[in-house]
Amino acid sequence: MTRLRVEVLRDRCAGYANCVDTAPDVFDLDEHDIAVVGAEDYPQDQRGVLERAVRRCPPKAIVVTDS
Amino acid sequence: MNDRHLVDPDNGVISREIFVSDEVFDEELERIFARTWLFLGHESQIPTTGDFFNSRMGTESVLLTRDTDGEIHALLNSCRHRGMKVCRYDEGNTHDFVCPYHGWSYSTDGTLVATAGELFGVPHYRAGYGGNLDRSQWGLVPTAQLVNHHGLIFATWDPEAPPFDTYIGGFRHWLDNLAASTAGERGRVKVFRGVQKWRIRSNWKFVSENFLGDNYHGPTSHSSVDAVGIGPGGKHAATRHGDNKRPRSVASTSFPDLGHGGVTTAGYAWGYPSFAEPEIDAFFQRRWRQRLERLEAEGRPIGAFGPSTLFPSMSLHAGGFPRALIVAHPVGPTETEVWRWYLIDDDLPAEVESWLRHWYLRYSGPAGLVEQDDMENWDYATEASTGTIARRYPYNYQLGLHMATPSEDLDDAVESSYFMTEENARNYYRRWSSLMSSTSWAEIEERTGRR
Repeated sequence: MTRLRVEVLRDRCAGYANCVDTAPDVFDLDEHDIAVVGAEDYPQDQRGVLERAVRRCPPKAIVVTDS
Repeated sequence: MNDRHLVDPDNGVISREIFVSDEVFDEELERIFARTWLFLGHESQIPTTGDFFNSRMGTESVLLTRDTDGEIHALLNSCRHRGMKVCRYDEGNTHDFVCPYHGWSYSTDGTLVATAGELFGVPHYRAGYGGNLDRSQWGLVPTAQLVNHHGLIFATWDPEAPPFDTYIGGFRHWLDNLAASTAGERGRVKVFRGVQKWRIRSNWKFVSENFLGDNYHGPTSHSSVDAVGIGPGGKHAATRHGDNKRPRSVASTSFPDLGHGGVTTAGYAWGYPSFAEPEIDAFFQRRWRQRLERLEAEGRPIGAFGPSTLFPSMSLHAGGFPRALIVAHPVGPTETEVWRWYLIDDDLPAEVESWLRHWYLRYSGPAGLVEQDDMENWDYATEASTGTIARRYPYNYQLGLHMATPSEDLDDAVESSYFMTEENARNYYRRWSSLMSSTSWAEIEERTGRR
């Protein structure tokens, strides 16, 4: 089964931290207040929470794809 | 402000100050536009979830939105951070309003926020605000009350404003006609896209007053368009309405405590015009018969048919032809932004719709021949009333003074015994004065005995 690849478009991220609120096990903020992803990819059972993080990101800086 | 000395409806005398004064204008924004029920749009403009229409209340931009549950909301289009307009499009579809200044973001998505327009994100929320900004307290400002009246959307900023049904009173029949199809079916109308918006150098009240029952100006102001023959009946029809069966004298109705007014009574309507094209004529005569049958079966009055105004600033042609409404948005004492909506049945054959569009545009709007006549009057009357000498002399509203009788159909209305009257205007300014001279709705209702 394919896994989910999560990418943060760093030039779009503005440090809303909504992704960190939504999926604290996946996202964190770096020293510039830009979101970073913890792992290379994630299992399919994380799809729901990841898609919610995408929807809650005002500048649409998160991209989730099947790897 | 005590405006009683400026407005004397009992004697039919009104000071020019209320049409030109900055001080009066500022007070109107506070005491009238921030307190009364105002029209924002028609539900057909935002049919699906995420649709929005950028509307206006008084001088302010207000977003009419439809959330993920299908509920309609009206939100002040101003970011709570620095006031930037969060939306600068006329209409569209989105659940996210992201401010282009600093990025504060608001949502109407019910799966993301508890209330429509809630602040759901600010940049640097963690590092800059320490995660401590209470986002639930900084959403877009919603109106205090909102109603969908058979598809017509109204809202007020004042939580103490009387319920909409109380506010409109017997004027509901004029609104109901606007909201119904030419066959009398409620809610079966839609807006011709889009809304015409333009500015005139006139006080906003001239627009309201013109439509609420001023039968007096027609024969003089509009004689040229009648001579040209721009109506549905073509060149040989009697008037611009094309309605050779429209009687010369039609009584008008007004509401002394509420301020609304309109031409015709609730019990009388003159029917649809005769059209020059036989097939279009037959179509609307059939709809007229359907309307009469439906209204009779449902116990609804057939009248409330003519031009009219809902206090303070929404005017309409209730019975159609043209089925349109105009809102006079204040900009300054001598400048007004007018918005005109056109409503049509939602099931018209394409050729009838096309025919109506042409006639509507020939009649109304910035290029409409009848509207141009009116705008000339409003603009020049405003300009010629701003001078030091002119302001010393009040306007005369004595036409039909002491000639009103209680309405036969409505318990909160009066009718004029002669069809040319300024009774409707006197009652409009009575209401205006009542709002301007009181600080609360409770005080107004105590005075009029209405709630």
